[in-house]
Amino acid sequence: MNEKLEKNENKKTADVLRAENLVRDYVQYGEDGEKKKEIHVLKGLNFSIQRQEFVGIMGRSGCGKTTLLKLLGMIDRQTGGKLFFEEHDTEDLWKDEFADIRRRKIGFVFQDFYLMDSLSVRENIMLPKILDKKSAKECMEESQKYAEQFGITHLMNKKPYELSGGEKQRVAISRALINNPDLILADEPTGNLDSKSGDVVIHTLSHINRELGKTIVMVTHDPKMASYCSRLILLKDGMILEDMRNGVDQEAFYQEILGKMKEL
Amino acid sequence: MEEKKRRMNIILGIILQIYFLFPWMNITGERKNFIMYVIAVLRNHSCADTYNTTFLDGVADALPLDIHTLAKTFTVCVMLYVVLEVIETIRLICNIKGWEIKFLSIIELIGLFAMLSVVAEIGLNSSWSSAGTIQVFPMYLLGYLAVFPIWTGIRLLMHKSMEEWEESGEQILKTQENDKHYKQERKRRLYFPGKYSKLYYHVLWENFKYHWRDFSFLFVSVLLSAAFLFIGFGMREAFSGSYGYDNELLGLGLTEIMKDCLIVIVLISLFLITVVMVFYRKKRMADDGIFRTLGMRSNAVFWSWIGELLAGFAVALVTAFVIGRAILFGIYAAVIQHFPKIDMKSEVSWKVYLITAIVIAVICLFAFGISGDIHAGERSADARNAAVKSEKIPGICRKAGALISGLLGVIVLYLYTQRRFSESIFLLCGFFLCLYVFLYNIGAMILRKKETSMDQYLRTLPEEHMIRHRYQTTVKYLTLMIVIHVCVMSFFSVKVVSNRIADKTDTLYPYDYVWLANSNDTGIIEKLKQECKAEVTSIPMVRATTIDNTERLEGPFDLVWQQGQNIGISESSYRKLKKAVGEKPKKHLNLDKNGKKIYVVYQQDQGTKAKPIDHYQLMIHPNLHIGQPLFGFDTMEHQTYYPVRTITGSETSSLIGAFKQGKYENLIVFADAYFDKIKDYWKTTDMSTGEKIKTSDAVLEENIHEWPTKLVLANLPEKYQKKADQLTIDFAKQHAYDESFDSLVKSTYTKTEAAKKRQMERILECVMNGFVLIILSVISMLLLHMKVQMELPDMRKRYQFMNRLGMNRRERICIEKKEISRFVTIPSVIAVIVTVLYSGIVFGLRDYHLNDVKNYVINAGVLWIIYFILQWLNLKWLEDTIVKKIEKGADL
Repeated sequence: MNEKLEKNENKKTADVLRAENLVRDYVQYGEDGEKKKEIHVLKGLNFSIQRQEFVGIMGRSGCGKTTLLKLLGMIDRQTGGKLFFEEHDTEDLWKDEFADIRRRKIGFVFQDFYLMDSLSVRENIMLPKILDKKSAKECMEESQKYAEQFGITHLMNKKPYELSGGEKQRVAISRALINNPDLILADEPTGNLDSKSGDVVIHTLSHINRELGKTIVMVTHDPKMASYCSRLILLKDGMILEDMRNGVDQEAFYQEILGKMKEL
Repeated sequence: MEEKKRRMNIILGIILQIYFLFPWMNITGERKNFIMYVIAVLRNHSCADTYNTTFLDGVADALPLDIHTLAKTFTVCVMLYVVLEVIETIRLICNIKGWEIKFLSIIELIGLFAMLSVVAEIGLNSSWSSAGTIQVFPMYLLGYLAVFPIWTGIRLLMHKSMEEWEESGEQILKTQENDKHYKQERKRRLYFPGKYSKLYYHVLWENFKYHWRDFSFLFVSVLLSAAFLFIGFGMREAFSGSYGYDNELLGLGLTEIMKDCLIVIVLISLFLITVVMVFYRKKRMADDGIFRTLGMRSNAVFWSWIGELLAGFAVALVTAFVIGRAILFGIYAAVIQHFPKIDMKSEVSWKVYLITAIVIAVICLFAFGISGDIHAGERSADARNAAVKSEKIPGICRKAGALISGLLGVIVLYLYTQRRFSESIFLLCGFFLCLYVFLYNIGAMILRKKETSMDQYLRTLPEEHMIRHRYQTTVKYLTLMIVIHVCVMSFFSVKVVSNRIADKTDTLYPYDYVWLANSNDTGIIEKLKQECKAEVTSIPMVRATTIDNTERLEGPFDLVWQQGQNIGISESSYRKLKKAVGEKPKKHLNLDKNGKKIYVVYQQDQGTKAKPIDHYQLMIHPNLHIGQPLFGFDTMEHQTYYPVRTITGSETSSLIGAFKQGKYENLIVFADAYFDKIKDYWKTTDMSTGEKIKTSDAVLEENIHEWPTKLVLANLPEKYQKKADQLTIDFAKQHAYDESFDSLVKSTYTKTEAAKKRQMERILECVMNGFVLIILSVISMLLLHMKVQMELPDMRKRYQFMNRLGMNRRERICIEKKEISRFVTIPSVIAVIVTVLYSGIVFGLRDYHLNDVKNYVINAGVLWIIYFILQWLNLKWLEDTIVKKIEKGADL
């Protein structure tokens, strides 16, 4: 673990993600199938995310949070501007390279967990490894390791629909980590959870950031959850309203966020 | 570059010299070339003589046409070749010497155009192509002459290519380099060594098992489609022994009977598999989305999906073969038990398996392609919401859409009332398409109208929101159900019921023997009278041939080989024949002495669809020629030889025997005065071109032929039948020429054979179409089951939600039932309306009497009632089951 941290320390200065004038438009079609209007969801965002940062993205519903996360996760492509992943222009990447990056370098955690009910918890956790052609032995060992780390070993043979929300999210986090990715993208990971389970999940994410040195980008609308982040990007109408940095005091940062929320 | 070009020109020039100098023509036993032919012409001082001795073996005088013009044209052509040869020789010398003479190409080009015009003149003049058995202008000549222009074209292309060679060569190299670079880059960037572990396949298998319920619908639809197709093809093969395939071009017999059934099975299979595949793909998209998000390569996603489908389809196909084989055996046993004399095969050959597999593979491929459109949002790997995506209700064009589709539907129905398109499956498909578009737009208009009144909108929202949410799917299902109901109640009911109510086959043939004789047959007719004690009626006739007896659409100037041969008689003969069969003739036939107006007696029974006597024209204006089919007439002037007549009236009756069921041998009635004029037309009509010729020029079997001029109708005691059969064979031998135009038009017809064949045809039609009725009934019920079962999980969620919102149980159940029953009630009502229209049109076209209509309604009514009882029972059962499943565990 220390070796990993050391390795990450060396990379610390490099940007994991960099957005230059990032734009995402959607075309809305009328009932007659004709192009009705263009919706500008993201209107030219500029920011960079460095290694080991825990970045929160906040904003009102419809401000483009999830759209931005999809672009950062290479689930979707931008319609303008540039996005660099580890200094590679994503525009130059092929579809299957996106898949490779998603599989090896990014871990996803979603609000609705996005687990497969057809598979057991164990199989769900090791799915990224299986898709990466890793041996069965390695898959089993790694899944066991993360299950132990997040206290879900007793659930390994269950199906996701047999679990509580908090348990499901811990399974999703284990799955996100199993390929040891550089970046974790979390889309409102506590959105579907009660406050207790939400606390467990945010602490887990915070732990992953601090102890494992993973870069995390988390979309949230909860100021309390956002206060755990080292940095917070506030979005308003597809533009960055404010890029806030967390000082030492989490409570002060929380109050600062609450203050800024009035402007959203 | 220039040197390369020069060398190429030299090689091409040498090849051309070989072509020009090659002695390919046989002139009085010696092989000669173009130059030698010109010399021969100059020596003989006659183009025609040279041509005659070279290409016609000196028989030009015996030919019915003048070869002088052709010979002169050909000589001009050869002379032009000689000129071109000289130019080519100069060009070759210039190339060898390295000189450049630019104007040579221009001269050559002019010569080439002139030569091409001459060659085209020869090639396009059809009258020069043949005269009887002799080819006046052998096609190999045209072929040889065409070599030079083609060669010149190739040379031009080669010159052009050479000029662009360097540039394009560089481009090709660049492209190759880029491709290579791209491949290397691809290999490097997408390097993904190793094999997937067993866990990967385990995951796919687990996922497949989890979705088995959804997949099972797809499996069942492929299984059913394959089984039905297998049975259809199997039955076609089984019956082929007793009722031959016939000539497919004629559109008769087994091919015609099978065509409609198979088209319907294929279309319904396609629709069924597509609809289920769309549903399955939507369901699978959510899981595919997880795989994609987690970084599964697109290839791997695709192959996992294809592998799953292929394996499932293969199992479904094999199962279908087993089930289909068992059903075929059951049908075979049942048919043999009821009709022991029938010649039916019990085995199924490998061809049936193969063709079923091929057809089902094509259907699945189409379905896969069509269902693929839902992957439009595939650009994004996030497909979590694909399965619940709302479907649009048509927008501003709905009024125009409804109007246009309604109008088109009316036009299609109008066309349906024409004999030309009577009971056409393609037209019916067109009608269904119009109906679909109409319903799609009308439905949208109704829903939008409701939105204008908020009260009404909100009141109907609980029961209609699913129609709004899944509008396109709803309309598709409704249309499919209508299609099935209409096919059952109309299209296939007509085929089965009309054969059941048709007159008995014995009554269709009032005469034991019908001979189409001429003046040379007096002896054999006398023999029939004397030796077989036959009671013979002889009626004067002419051959009345229509220009096109095929259902294909021909070009206006195409020569149609299958022409409609009918029997032309006079009005008085018509009255005589009517009297003989005990029917009352029409008082006035409104015929004229110029033969422009005709009256038609369609000789067919109630079980056969109405056919026109001429497929060339719509409505009541056939192109009708007096005489046997012509194959050498000028098609550009077809109306001269096949003048347009007007049908002033028609009836459906079997006056001499419905031997060809309205396809051929209908009776064309002319006014007596006109008939007197045309009865000897054979003496002055060219047998090949239809041109009028003088009596002095007419030579029997050279340019004229005596077509059937006497309709001999004979009845005789049964004990003389064998003898009469022998005489009929002898008669047919003498009329081999008359039978040579069309394999289905004979010079003799016998009651026994025709009745047997018709009986067989009826059995086959009833069995085949009855089978399709059963298939459609099963599919209609299954389709409803599949639809409801597929949507059950969503329905359950929806009504649980309604329950939590406080909707009471009674109201809930009522809406739940409505959601299912609308797919039975709406299609049933529309199908009944369409059936009334369709049946009315068919009755009119088939000339049904009131008694026939009554019999039809009684017989078909039983069928319809059984069908609707089955639909109703299925609906009730489904409603109960589904309501129980949804309401189970509801908080009450």
